[in-house]
Amino acid sequence: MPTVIAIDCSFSLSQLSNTSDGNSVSKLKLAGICCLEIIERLSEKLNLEHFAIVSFSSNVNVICDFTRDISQLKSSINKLTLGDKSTFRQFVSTTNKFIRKEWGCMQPCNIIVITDGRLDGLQEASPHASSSATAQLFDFDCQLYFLCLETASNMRTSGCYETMEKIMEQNRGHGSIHTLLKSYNQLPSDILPTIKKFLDDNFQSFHAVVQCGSLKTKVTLYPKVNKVVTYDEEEDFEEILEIVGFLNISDLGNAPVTSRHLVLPIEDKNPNDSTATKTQPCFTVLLHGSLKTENKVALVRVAANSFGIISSWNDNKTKSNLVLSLFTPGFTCVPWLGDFRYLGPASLLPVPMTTKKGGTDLPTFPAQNRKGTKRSYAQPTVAWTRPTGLQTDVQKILRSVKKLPEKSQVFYKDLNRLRRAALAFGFHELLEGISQLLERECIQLPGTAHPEAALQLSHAARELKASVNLGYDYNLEPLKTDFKFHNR
Amino acid sequence: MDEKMFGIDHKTVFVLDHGQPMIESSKQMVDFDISTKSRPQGVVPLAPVSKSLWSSCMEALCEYCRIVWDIFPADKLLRFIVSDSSAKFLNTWSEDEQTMAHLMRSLASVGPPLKKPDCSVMLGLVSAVEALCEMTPCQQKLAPETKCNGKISNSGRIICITQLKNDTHKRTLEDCVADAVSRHSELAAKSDGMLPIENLNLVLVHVKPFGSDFQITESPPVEMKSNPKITVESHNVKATRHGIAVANRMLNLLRHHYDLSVTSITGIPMKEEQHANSSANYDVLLLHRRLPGTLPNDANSAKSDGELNSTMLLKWCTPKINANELYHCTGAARISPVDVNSRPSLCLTNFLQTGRSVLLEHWKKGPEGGAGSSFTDSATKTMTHMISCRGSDIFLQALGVSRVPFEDPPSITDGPGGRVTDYRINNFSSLIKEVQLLPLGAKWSKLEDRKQHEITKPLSGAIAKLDRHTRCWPLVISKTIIFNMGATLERLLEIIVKEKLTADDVVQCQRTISHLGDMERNGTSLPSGSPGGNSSRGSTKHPNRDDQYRAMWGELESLLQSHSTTSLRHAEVLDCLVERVGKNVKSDLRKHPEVTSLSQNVKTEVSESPESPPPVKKQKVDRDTVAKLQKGKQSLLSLWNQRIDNKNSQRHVEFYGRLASDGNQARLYPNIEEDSSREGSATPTSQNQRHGGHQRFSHHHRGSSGGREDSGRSGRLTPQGKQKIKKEKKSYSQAT
Repeated sequence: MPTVIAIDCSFSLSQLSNTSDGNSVSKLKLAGICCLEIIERLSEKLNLEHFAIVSFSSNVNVICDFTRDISQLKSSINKLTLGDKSTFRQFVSTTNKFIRKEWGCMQPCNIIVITDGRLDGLQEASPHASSSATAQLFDFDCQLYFLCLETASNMRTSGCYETMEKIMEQNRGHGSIHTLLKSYNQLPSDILPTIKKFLDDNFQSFHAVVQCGSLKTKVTLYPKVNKVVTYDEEEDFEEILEIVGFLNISDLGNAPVTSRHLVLPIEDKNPNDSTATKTQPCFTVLLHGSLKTENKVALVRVAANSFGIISSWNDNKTKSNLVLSLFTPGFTCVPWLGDFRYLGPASLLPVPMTTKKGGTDLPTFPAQNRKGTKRSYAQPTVAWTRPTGLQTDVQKILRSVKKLPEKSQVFYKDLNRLRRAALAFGFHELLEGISQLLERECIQLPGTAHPEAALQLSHAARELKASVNLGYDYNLEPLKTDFKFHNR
Repeated sequence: MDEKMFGIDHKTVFVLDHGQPMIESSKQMVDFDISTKSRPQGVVPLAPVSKSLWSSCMEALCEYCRIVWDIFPADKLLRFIVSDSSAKFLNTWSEDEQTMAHLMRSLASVGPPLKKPDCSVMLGLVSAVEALCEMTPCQQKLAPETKCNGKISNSGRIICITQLKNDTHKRTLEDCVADAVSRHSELAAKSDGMLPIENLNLVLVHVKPFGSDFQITESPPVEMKSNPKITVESHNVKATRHGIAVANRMLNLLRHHYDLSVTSITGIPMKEEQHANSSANYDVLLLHRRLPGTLPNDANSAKSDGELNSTMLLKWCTPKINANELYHCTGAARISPVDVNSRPSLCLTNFLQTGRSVLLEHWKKGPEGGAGSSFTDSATKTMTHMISCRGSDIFLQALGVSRVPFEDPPSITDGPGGRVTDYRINNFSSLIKEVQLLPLGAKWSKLEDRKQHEITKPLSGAIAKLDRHTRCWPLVISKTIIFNMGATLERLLEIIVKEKLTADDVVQCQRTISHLGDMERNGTSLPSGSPGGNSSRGSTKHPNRDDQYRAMWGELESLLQSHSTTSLRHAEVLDCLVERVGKNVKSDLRKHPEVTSLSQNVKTEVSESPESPPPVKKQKVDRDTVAKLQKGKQSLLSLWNQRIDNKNSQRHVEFYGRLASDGNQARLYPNIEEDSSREGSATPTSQNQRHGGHQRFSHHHRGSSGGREDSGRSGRLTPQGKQKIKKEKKSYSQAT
């Protein structure tokens, strides 16, 4: 994942430390050496990594924007200049803006802060200080590492360690604090093993196995996958990406994912023949080819109750690759796919259940919710908080009044709906009003109107008033005007 | 959802004041008769009716509930208590009673407030605390799991809609709730089905008619001094403009309570009612759960009586979307229109419900309008969102538009296996179609009643199916013959991966195998899957036909072998092949004595691709292997091996000298010393021995009967006699 290396350039970094060979070197110089080492080692390990270098004191400078160009990064380190005091709050807010602009809020990032430990302005570090419970240092998920050019004992006695622990707490414990110095007269080169260890511990590439039945390939995932967090436990991401079936891209409905990772098959390190691995068949290449031609994705189980999809992804039109996208943990994280445990191939159903007259009767996506409840926008809903709400409903009734008796079914349906709503809201005055309205409409019927219209209107007006206490489920029925049936 | 801890918004109880003050008119007239305005002649319009405070509040309440249930269909629950001289529950936590229909019906049963004295919301508040202690279905589901290791979080909110008398009255109510919380939590801790309340948010909404000026101090959420677990806030609302103020306050509260975003979809093209050929652009305001990556709401917005302000503007771009294009979606949220019955809202929701999706673009209104999640370049159009209906619900989906960290990756063709050109893409595509997942949930539950299946969940069925289909699956065309043989083997390859075979299936396979045998005899050439090794198709080296067939049989056998454990019928198919191959091997044996090593070579060839299962050596000839298997667990494989062994023993006879000896090596002429000492009696035995041995080689049964006579005659336990005893044992075990 993208990594920001932040170098503390405050004045305290001008402090010289005497090395055992008699020379002296400033801490800022040491910081530069550390930064160089980190870039060199990490770019070896993770060749897709983007780095940016930021220097901060009371103001924050991006001295090298995100890039994979190692030489550019290296040369930019020379631009480091001393500033005044380091204000961590300023650093946080600028970094937030910087990362958001580059990667958005959804991309986890690493931040490696190289400092002498004297950080200031922490109390105002949180941008959303008002809501203390949700206060979060960074807008994005962030692994925060402090590399301190200071000895551990000095860190503790000066209280710097405590400050950093507080910062770490605000970052929800994601990250760690490391002290680089063992004593004051260390050679710069003595720091390097410590850095190597730090990088080895925290920046490993992530290996996994893509498995489909008995077809398998070893892969690396980039960026690496963090722990899958379920509601009550942190579950380790299993290293087996087990393909459990396939879905149409159109059925997937662009389901929301939390992170995406490039799936790269691991090359067998075979020094004597590099072309051999390219000609050795590899399952992921086959998978990629088939997914692409079929417009499908593979559903993958990555942990006991955590799923993702593997799909073909292309950067531009020529370079194509496999990408793993992870869903939020859980079996029901995508409502329209239903419970993952109940996905299965059609062949699991017995034949009579899959066929009906004139075709197949297979279930299709989107999965319907169990009770088939409808949302308010999918059914007639009464909403009278705005005056137009009620007026529209009344207008609708008046429109069908004009077409009585043909529209009497619609007329009574709408009238009943209005009546029920009025009863629910305790708005009995309205029923009285509507009753009067219907009476007036009855009087104003044009001479050409069907005689039944008047009958129905006065019947409805009467009933509406009389039925106030007859309960919610009472239904106003049209006046019976066709007696043929009864006479028989 | 069920995966989350229960937050404070999991349970909300509304306490509705049903006392005399609420029947008071809001002092606002409702002009429902607007039809007269369009009529020219002097029709006297009807007098507007007045709406009571109660009606205004109930309308606002219903809007609040409508949106909650639209956006959170399962995990945010609401309850209602009507409080006058007694407290009456309108519903339970049960999911069936969390619907608009249920709420409306029960509200109607209560009716408007009556002019009764001694009404109080205190009763309702106490009942509300009690209700919060009750477990919801979601909590109950979790109860058995957490019984031993922890407790279920239980927090809630009480929203009391009432008319307060003064600030002292307000404090009385707060104290009443605090008291009830401590008493009920004590009770709940003791009883089984109840949960103590961890956190409570008490929201007092003081409603007064238009023109009234009696004031209650509004207060933001503050912790109570007597009980810090309780936060209290109060709202002072005038029922102005048809009660819209109450409704707006409730909507602002709703947005705050559930952390919702208000998004305006702007520029929706819509046909005008009057001018059907022109279209105007409209805006629709939607509420939805805050999408990941967007900033949280301003906490002060809850106190507003104004209309909801949109925090994000999304411009309608295009409903033309390629369904087969996979967009990177970072979050999806159910929506509910703020004004559900307005014409633009209806147009939008109806359009989406036809199954269309619409791409939207983040739109900045002014300099400070860009509070949304995405930043768009004014030069290029970037689609930041999509709105579409999935099933019964409409979702707003945020699309990832930021830079990806793995941009410009190495192409898959440059990686391992990237240069291989003869992958069995088409075959894998048909496998993908075979294991295409469908939502079987509804049908499965019907099945479960009838106990028609053995696997518990369809997904495990899918996994099992994938496993069966890939047991023997060469990745490339050049590494297989049997998958290149088209119609000849098609049926068999289809049948053998099935979970269960019918007797017919077995016959089909047997037929195919014997057909292959015929092909071999007739010298039909096989397709060009080269057994010659890793050279790709079209290589110059052309293998001879016998080698090809041997490779084909070997490959077919490993395929059948890998499936033979599925069921006895699968094993039967393998049996059939083994019989066939056995014959071939035998006939070949005469021609090529080195056939065993050859056929092994072929097998390693086939399984050379790293994904093929390791070659299972079928060794009829190799006694050691069989012996090992017999000693091991009685798996289906070892059972089968025994059977094959028995069958083979009928065709093949072990050198009896080896059988008779103690080790694996036979000592030649074991009787030579005896012979020299007792020449007279020994000679006929050795003659017999030689004779019997010869006979058995061709006529096994006769030989054995002859041997019995021998042993009877000699009465001595010669090596031959030992062998006979073994033979008898064997034939006994065969009989059983």
